[in-house]
Amino acid sequence: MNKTRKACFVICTLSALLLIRCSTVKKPSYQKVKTVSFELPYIPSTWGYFYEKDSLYFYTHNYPTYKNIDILNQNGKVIHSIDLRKLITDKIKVEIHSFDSVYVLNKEPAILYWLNKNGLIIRKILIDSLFYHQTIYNKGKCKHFEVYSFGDIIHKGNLLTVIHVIDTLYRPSASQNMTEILLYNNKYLREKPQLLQIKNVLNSSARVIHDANWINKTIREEDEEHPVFPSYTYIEDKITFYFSYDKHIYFVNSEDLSFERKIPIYSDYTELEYKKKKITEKRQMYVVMYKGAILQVYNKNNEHLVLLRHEVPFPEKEEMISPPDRFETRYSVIIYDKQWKKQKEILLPEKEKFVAFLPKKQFITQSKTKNARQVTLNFYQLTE
Amino acid sequence: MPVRLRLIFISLQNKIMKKVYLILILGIFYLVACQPKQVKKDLKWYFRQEFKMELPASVHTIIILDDVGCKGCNVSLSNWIQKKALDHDKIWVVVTATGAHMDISPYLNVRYKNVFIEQNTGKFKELQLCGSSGFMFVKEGKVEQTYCISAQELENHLQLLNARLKL
Repeated sequence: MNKTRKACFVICTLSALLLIRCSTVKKPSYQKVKTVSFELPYIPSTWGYFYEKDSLYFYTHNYPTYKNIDILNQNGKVIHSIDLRKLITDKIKVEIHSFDSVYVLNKEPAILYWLNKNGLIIRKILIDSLFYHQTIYNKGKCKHFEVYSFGDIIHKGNLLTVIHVIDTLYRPSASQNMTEILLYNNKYLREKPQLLQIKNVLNSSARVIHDANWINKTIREEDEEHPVFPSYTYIEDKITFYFSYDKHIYFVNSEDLSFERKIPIYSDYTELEYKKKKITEKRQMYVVMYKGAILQVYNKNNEHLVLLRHEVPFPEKEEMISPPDRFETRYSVIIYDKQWKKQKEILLPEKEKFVAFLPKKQFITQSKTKNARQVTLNFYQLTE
Repeated sequence: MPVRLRLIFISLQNKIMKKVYLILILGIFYLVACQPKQVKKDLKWYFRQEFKMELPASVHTIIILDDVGCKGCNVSLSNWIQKKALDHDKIWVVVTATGAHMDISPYLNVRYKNVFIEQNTGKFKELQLCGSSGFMFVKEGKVEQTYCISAQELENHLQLLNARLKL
């Protein structure tokens, strides 16, 4: 009898604990709005979106193999396919603002194409030729410029502003073997970063090149062998920079790109500061991809949203170290008020890769599918 | 409690306990019996699962072409494959690259008998051999040596592969 009572007591206590546990599980601060699934003839590399007449459109590509950019409607149907075979020779970056504002950057040689949805060239801007007129180019005979970063474009009327972070890179001579070239490029070659701003690209002579020594000061001292280039975005009239290595967001004067101030970002879930550790060379090469990082900064209705990618543990086996699976990476978003006072941090759904933030505090993620040509996009609404 | 009622209660309790024991034993049996068999994830398993192919004993080298990691290395390996290893009887090539970082159209446009395109992204990685491009020396379907491509060793790796062509 005693035993039965004890058993009853244990079962009741466990049930009560379970009930308490269940009732205290935090509800997520978002709700799923819808899921869209479709299939592409290729594995998409990156996703972007734009609005045309209040309708949402996506774009993606798998350029090196399938030489086109596809514009899809909200249901994943390809409505325009822009053939790039005649335009592009090397790695590209794409940004689409509307059906008539398709920007494609060919990185080497650096050419910016402004196209419409049918692939018709509206403007071709030879960025390399802008650089070649700069005296700095002639300082070293083995150096050339490479465009590293291609951030938000502001295009209003005749004014189109683009910023590139550029660098002087060592170009190896033909006599060197591949190993030497790769090692050299991987390790040392970035020096004297510069920022290029092209104002009014319709008149291609109007460009400004700014020294960016503040980048040197903030990043290079930490690890000279593995510099990382910043991402940046426009918030109202300011430009903000952020780096995978660093927990700060940097505010830059948009006129002369000089450094103004920086604010630190602290996450409840991941460490954002780069801490130098003694690790193998291979791990060092991938450390930026595995550490927690500021991924994007958005400005929405008097609030700032900072998207974070959380730290991913390195695989134990050295041979298995490669870029981490982003479907296994956690993401969170920190909401700040207009004065950059932290309001809250929201952990985003697990096993889903972050794709984009939309206006009205919606966001999109991608679910992993068995065949990566099958795409499943999830639309969420952030709730209070 | 009257004695009769108490006896009924004890007998009921015994019956319940017996059932509990029975359920417990059956549960443990079920758990043990239904444990998924540990499938050995090796190259033979991979080719069967992914390509419905039996890996012949004659194949002595498997090359994995990925497009993550060292871009120059991947392009060099791809160029080597296209120059020297297409339709080779004893060297099989698995393309795990998505095509988003390197042009893999030469492998998609023409069907080569020794080139296999991975459809289920990430399946090869389950073998825990290489996280990016690499190659394996194989004897009767079993991996004897694995080389993961790296910038430091690229030239040596391509020399090793050259030597395999004549085997």
